[in-house]
Amino acid sequence: MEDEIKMIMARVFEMKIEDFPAEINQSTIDNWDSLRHLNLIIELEEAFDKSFEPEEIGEMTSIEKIMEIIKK
Amino acid sequence: MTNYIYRNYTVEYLFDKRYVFSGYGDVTEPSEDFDNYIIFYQLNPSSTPEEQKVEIESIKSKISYILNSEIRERIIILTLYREANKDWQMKSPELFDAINDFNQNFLKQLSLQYKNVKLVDINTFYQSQYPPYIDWRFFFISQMIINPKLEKPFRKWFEKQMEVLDLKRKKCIVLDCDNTLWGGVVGEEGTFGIKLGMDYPGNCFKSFQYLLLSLSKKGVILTICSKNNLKDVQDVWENNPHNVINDKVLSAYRINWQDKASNIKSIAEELNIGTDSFVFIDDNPIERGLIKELLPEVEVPDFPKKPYELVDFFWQIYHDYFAVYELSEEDLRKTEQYKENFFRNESKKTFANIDDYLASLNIEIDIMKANEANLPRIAQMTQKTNQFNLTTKRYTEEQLREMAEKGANIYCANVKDKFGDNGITIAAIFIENNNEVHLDSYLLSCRILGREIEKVTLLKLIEEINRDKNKQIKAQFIPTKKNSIVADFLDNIGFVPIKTDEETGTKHYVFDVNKKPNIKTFYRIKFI
Repeated sequence: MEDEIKMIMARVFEMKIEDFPAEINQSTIDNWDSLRHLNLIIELEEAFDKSFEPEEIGEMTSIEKIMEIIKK
Repeated sequence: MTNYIYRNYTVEYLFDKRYVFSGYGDVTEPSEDFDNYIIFYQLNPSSTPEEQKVEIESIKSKISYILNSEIRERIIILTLYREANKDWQMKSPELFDAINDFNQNFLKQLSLQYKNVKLVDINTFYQSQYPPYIDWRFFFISQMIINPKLEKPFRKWFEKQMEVLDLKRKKCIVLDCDNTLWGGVVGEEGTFGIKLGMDYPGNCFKSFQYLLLSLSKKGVILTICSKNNLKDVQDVWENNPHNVINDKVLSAYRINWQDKASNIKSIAEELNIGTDSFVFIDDNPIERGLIKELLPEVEVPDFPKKPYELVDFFWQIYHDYFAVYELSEEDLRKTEQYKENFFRNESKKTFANIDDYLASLNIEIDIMKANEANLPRIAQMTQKTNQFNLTTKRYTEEQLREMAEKGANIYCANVKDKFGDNGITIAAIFIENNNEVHLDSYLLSCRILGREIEKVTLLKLIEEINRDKNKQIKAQFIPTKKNSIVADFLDNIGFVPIKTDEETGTKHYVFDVNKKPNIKTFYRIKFI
């Protein structure tokens, strides 16, 4: 799952996977702005067939948190 | 092409990089110049109807402000999305009315006043989409005014609207005949055997033909390119009354056995238009493949698998290739005249009684003898009609043909009024012997009941049958579980009961020529 999320992130943030920092969260990735955050959520919903609650969308600001919420 | 979007909600995700966005609700002119300015203001769907009405006024003033600036380039204004279900009352839904007023009056007025203003109706976008128009999660998180799942269809739709504004319209449709303009193969099934008419699937092809005919009146050229014997197709044109795409509306046709690519090129030469303005419509995938291969500039849409998909197919073709921002003045003038007539008819009339109303309908009843064109329909009516049916005798086409050969008088009638043509909806069979005429069957389709058509038609038929003969006219009512609405019908038009069969309840009647039933005079009945 982590790899799939990274692939989606690479597409949404217009980055290469190799360029991702060790810690993947909103403060370590410049392109992760609020609009792209929503694009990311939309892509994740589609890929994992999920529908996140607004509170969850607000919390999904790091790859760990994203995985945790998808697994719920 | 650079574009600037004035907006009051989040819409960035709906557009690509060629678009630049204003701040939320910011009406100031951008510092650089753009090719198009798009005004995309929408209402807050979460606020009360009253608040939204106030918002409409604020949007009006924003738009007026923008238009008063010095923008000379094209300005595209999107209409307001209209949702009917979030309003207080059914009779005068205030918000719905206010949105309609904005879309239809305010914006129309602007587009007349400012030549560089074009309108795009956002409501045409959502009609064929399935996820909800708004995803409330994304609206409340980030003011996304349209469900982000609709992003792709929105882009496609918006591109299409821009193309329409740029007048990229095709000019000419090339049609096949068999299984395209009608069902079946005319060379095998004949002029009246092809499926085209009032019943499924012929009614699908008929609708398709009428839509095409109507399109041709909007300035699109219709042509035919089909592999048939010319004579077979011409026979359909001349004799099948349901066929409306014929040499009177076709600008050119190639009906022969040559390959269609050469035929299309020769049509293009004859009409003096490029083949890149052509749309080719053919049910046969091999023919479509050939044209795609040999004439790649011709548009070749896939043909629907089922006849009932033809109406959607037509509108898809229209929107993909022939949509137009505005019709020429000539076309508009026609539309205006038509509208005036309509209002003259509708609004000035109030009816004192039912007769005035019936008289206003301009009902025309055309009676005809059974022939090869209408026999299938008559047989089908005897099979299907249960309610208005005096005897409920079921006949096949072959039985009817044989009865006619033995001298039975079989009639049917077509009923139309100012609202449209109902088609063949009445059938009657009279059997004559030495000194009497027997009404074997009389039946009507329920869709024309309630206008006394059933009475005048039968009386007219009796008059015709009995002219110079003075034979006795006999009739029967055979009761079934479903035909109670005709139990008194014969009594009401001048028949006299003579006896009733105890067992079956069948009532026997004879027509009394001296009884003068009260017949209204406002029907136009004729034998054709």
